Amino acid sequence: MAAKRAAFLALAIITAVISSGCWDALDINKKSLCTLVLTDRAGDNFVFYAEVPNLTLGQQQETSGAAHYDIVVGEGTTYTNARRAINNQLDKPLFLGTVRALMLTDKLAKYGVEEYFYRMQTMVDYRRVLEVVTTHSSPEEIFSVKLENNVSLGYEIDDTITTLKDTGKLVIYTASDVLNFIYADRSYVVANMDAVNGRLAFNGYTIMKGSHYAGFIHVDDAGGLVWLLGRNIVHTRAVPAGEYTAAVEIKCKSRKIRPQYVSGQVVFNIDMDFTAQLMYMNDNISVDKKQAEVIKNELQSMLLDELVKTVQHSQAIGCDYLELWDVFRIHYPGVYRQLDWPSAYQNAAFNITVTAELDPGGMMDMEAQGRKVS
Amino acid sequence: MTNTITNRQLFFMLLLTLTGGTVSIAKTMAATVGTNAWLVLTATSLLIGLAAAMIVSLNAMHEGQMLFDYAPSLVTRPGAYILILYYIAYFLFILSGLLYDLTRILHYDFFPKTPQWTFPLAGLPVFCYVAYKGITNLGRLAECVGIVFISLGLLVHLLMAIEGRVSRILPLIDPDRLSGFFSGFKSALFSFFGIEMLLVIPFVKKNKNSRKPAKAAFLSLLAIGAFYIIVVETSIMKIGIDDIVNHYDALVVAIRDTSPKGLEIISRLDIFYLTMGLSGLFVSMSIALMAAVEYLCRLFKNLSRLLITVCAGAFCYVLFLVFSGIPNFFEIYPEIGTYLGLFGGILAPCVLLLIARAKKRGGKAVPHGS
Repeated sequence: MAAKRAAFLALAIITAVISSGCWDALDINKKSLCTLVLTDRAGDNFVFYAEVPNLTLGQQQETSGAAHYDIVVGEGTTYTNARRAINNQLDKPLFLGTVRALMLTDKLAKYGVEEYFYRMQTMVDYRRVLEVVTTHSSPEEIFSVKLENNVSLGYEIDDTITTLKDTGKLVIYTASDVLNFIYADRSYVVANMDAVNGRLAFNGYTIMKGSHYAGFIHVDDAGGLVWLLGRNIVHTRAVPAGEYTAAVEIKCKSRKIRPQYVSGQVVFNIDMDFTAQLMYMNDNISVDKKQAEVIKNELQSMLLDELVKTVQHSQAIGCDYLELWDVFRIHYPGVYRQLDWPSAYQNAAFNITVTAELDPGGMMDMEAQGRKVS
Repeated sequence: MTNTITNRQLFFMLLLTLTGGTVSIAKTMAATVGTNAWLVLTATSLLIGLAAAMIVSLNAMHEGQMLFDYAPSLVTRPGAYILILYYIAYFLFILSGLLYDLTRILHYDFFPKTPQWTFPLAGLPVFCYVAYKGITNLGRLAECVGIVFISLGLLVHLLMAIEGRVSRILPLIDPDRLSGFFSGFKSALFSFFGIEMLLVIPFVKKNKNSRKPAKAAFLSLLAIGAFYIIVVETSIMKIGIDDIVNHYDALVVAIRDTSPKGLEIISRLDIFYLTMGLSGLFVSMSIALMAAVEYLCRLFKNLSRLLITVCAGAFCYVLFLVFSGIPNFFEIYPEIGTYLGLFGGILAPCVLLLIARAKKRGGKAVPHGS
């Protein structure tokens, strides 16, 4: 019995020692926790900017928030050299498991982001669920912006993206999605954030073709894009109705895309169904049924215009960033494999219909007091 | 100690034995048959389900005995010894291969700085201890671990499905890729082998319904097939076919890509999987070792079970070190395992069952025991 107990104890100790004494064990305090990675291309060099907390300032009460983070810059002709340059400056090994945001500059996007993503997927601690953003601003401008509720720029970017996404204002892809697009050589969009008036702001989408920059869509022109790509998107629009303007909150109720392949041509039938709520008018007028119909018609034609413009733009630049290839592939897998999709897409025909239901005012009686105008 | 298990334990033992290889199944299926994976897996589970039912029927014909006990009456004593040696070699090979797979996953996905030779040193003593305790205890352990494994596994795959994109697994039938059905079928077979361990489980008729264990084995294989389909489909939904084909550890990559925002406590699903998902692999290795030990104990009746278990564990470690030295062994291992499994899991039991049936029909008495 005693021998059995001794054997069991020895087994437990050996197992515990071997399994917990892994070569990889490293105290969290002995790592440089990275919260933001910004990758740039300067001349013929790759440049990494890593935001790491400066723990030595944590105890000083009078230190301002932003000073809690340091930006470590590493430059090299290859990514490995750039990373080595970063490592050479850090007193502790860099830990990428805590990165909250990955930002790529437009210069790198124009050069090609492929290699960076191949590199990223081999790093065990780097998370592929990171949402990717691009920027037209220089790294210096980005790191000099005023932060709102965070002391870390990485957290600021992550929180901004999360807020926009949760409120139905943004289409965003993760690093894993981008890798998938790169492997399949597709077109896609990446949310863009720039330094605007000293603040970091989402201002549009960078269009990528495979791993290269193919254009930019300003947020004001991205209406059709978000309706076609986004989930639970909510937008407000100022709809002109005669000489007045109506503020309307719009949600996409259903999106049906039916592809056809007719006589060697790709045809997409897109039926969009929206629900809208009239929030207020710019004047104290009574919104009766006739006036509501005017607003609804204007809204429908406005939404149709947004969708048509987006489709035309994507066809004009030969980038199917609206992921219509996926819809066609599901319905015609054999044909899709044989097609040269970029050219088939450019010559595709579109039949777009838009219907909208307008709820005038919700719980407000929009006919109660205003002037009769219809 | 009676070496018997209940039908529920049988299900969990089969589940844990077979699902030891789920990590790479999504890659192999996506690469060979694309979105038709569910079709191939359904067909394979039906075939292997029949094979499992056949093994159970063979055992049920020889109540209270395992292969070693009744084989001499079917294929003569020398034939039985050859068969037993084959199964011992097979289980030791599979166990060493599973160890090799496990250390690769742990090394490349979780502990890159830890040398691979250290991992089995932590695991093998435990596997040896579990195998030493015999079938009945292992059945009980499999039941406990299996319940946790299947419930948490389904939760992880549900979260993956919620975050994944349905369009990636469509079309459900891709006619252009049906031509790869047989190569997909061959790739899928290896993930279903492990049913050979049923040959070491003696069956005891407790009631008149003697076909029940065979039915249970068949249904278990169908359930395992359904679980594989869930694993493959959710992995494809998460990272897509174009990317999944690049990863031997497709399941780990897909789990890493899942980060449930609302459930912060399990936002690092890969760590969650490390504790829960790998427990299934640990039990499957214990079962493989137990099967080899059961045969070895019958072969070397004079040696103590403890000594045999320790020697088998040590031999597996040496074999694992040899495998680690072979370049690209992870590509060769499923190939060899498939052919070995085809003989051990389908062909040999099929022949034995035919002989047993013929002898029974011919009115010859089947002497029990050797």
